[in-house]
Amino acid sequence: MATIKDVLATSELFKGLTEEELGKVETLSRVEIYEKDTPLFVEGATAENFFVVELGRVAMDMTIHQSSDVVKHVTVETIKNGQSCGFSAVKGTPVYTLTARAVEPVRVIAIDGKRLYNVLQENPGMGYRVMSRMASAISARLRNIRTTIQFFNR
Amino acid sequence: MAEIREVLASSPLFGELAGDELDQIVPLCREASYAAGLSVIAEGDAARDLYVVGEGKVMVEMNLSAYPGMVQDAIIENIPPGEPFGWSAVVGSRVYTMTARCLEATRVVAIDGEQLLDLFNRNPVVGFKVTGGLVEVVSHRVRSVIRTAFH
Repeated sequence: MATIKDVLATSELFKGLTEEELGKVETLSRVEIYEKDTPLFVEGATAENFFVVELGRVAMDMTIHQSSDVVKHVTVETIKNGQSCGFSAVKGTPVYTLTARAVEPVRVIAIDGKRLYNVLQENPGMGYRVMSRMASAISARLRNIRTTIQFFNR
Repeated sequence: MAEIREVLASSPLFGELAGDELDQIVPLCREASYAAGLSVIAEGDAARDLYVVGEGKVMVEMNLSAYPGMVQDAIIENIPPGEPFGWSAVVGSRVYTMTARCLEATRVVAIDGEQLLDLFNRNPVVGFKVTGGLVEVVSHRVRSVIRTAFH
């Protein structure tokens, strides 16, 4: 079985970091398992943890209020091994924007968001690389959300 | 339009920069003016510059394909003064994923993406602060898009 450091080393956010840098992230990390249809986190909840998917697929769901009494949940993106979710735990308003739901049994690396931000701030070379990739990942998610909304509104 | 430095200072993208750090960004910038209806950037073009709105109104729109061969422009949102657009010049694919069109006479600050990335590599503290600002801007825009559409 892959170690936490192995998983981080191949992830979209942390690939290319040095052994020493990966070690700093590893100390903030733990493995978590989620059964099918259970949430990793829920839209509106306090954002404490950032997640890297090791195995399985995670749906990023958005709540859509069609009317005062009709609420739907729409998947804007499904992420898989190496991809991340829960960016709000690291930077910005510390409330999750979307709900992350295990589509199948999922194994993830959970990372304390505030402590990760502090490590990135203390190590700006590493911090810049990770934050740049995070901006890119959120930007891609924004585009997916825009596309979902536009199609939904037709 | 306000001086370039003032426009940058008003932007959440550069909100964490100290004065001397902001001074390093200014030489990478130029001002540009556009008449109503003109596009500042076009979806699919090589992303060379990152923009901050100085005065006026900019709307972003994207192509949507419901099925292969069918393409339709969708207006996504308006970008007010102080807000950035065209960040593909510094993160991701280096190809613009949106078209930005002026709703009225508009002035923008254009920041050379390659030079900005070079600055980030030479001074990762600035890189960390600005990309952190970008994470906040994009996250805020995600919330705004969802709130505007459905709440």
